[in-house]
Amino acid sequence: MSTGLASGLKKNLSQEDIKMLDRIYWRSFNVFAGFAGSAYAASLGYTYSIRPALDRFYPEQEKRAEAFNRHKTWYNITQNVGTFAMGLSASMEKENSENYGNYDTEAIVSIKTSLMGPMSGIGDALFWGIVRVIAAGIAINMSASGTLLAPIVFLLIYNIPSMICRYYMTYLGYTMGETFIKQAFESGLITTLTKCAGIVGLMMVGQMTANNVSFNLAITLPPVAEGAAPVAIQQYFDELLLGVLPLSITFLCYYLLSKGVNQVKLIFGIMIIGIILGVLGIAG
Amino acid sequence: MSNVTVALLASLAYFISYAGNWAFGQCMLERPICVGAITGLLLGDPTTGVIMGGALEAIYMGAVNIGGATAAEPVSATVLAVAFAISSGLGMEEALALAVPVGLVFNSLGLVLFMLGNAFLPWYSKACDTGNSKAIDQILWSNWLVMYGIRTVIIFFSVYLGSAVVAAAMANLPPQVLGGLGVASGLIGAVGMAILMRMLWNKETCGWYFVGFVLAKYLNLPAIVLAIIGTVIAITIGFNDYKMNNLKVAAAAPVSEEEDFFG
Repeated sequence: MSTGLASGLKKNLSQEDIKMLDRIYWRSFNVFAGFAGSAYAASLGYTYSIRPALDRFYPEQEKRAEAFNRHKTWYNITQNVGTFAMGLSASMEKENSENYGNYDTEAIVSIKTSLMGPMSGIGDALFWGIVRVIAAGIAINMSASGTLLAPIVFLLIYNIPSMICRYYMTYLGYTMGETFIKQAFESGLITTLTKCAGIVGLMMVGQMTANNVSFNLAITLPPVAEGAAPVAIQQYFDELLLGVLPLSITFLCYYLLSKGVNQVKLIFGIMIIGIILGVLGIAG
Repeated sequence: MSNVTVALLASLAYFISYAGNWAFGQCMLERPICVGAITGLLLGDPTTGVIMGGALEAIYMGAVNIGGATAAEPVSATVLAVAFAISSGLGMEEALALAVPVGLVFNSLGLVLFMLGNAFLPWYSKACDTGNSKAIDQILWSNWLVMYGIRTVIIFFSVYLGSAVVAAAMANLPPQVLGGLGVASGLIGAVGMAILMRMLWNKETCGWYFVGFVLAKYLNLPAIVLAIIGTVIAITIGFNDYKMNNLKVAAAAPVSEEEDFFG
């Protein structure tokens, strides 16, 4: 199926186009490797990535300088979907070079910029919020035994879909243009995809909460009858629902974060409370 | 292993995972699960590295570099925690709790180092103005090397100077405090989970969080099994939504379709 999709996308492309897009694809892996100027975010990496297109369409030095300056603007899109913007920029730069002087070059920048919000939104949610969470959930589970397979499985689960997506996005951007993303949003495809992936993500977060957040009360009630053993309060909570305390604490953190409490303060707060409860012998 | 060797290997692990992550398309080499394994491998104890990496992965689950803003820097935290656990005889739980403040300190340092990019701006501007393609590549890689090089040197000295301090502190720490650190390291994961829930929570689907929680707690199902169950459920719901969507479109469309047909 995927090879079918690839040949469909490449159908109307020349050998030169394919060579250029493959080079953009490989260079895009370095888009956030280095930075120049915090006002431009990853603009340097963007120009670096689409250089095969700019070098090809603007062999003249002045025109190329113009293009480099054009792309010297704030850029930031989740990198494995951002290649869509790169492919799109490449196709627009091609048109500009063919109709030089009669093309609205401002559109190249404004369309790229308008893609940043929605594309990062999808990219962050799908890849960091979901694919990474699934990969980590499985790997954390395996890591308890100390096997090196854990990080390897983690890298494979994350990177295979990530690389495939990065590749097709490069070609989609070049061949389909901006209408594609609009249609994908309007048809509800993106919403359904995000929702379904979110179901798996949430189940994995539930599983990780169960396995990786722990809190046990160490205090005991005095024995009911003389000579009987003291009763651990934790036992009552366990009978109610296993892990109800860590679950409640997780929800408390969720509530505090949604009320705008700073993450760093929350991490420190939780840590200090944990140490105090441990030192006092209330938890253990 | 001497202190210098440990510090050298730990900073090498740091460079491989951090600089490597951003040179290879943010392939997640910078996540604690990988950093722990790499540090452990280089220091000769991959098992400890993987176990601690997994535990730190859970703690730092929520700390992702979204839009360039992070609350903590997990790479330095993982390298230092694993290095101290392997070389200074620090217990795993204590090392995990130690990792958290380390991550916070190094995060602020990272923000400062990120500003270094501004020093490269004149070079970048000149390359743009002259259309110098080769310079673009040179600027990107020089900034990469300088930024991660400085970080790596800082990690070297932190491990080199820190292991003696940590070993001395641990020898004098009362056992109650060690217990407290253990409690804290069990709790910190809650913040990471909460950050993830903020990203994924949705009225329509939030019930599945509890399904995952209960299945893991009571049936001890491994994560891969839950992932398979979750995927099947998600695909089923996805197809259902797709059909419903089509029905809605079909119900809304007949008028225009007839017009097309007869017109």
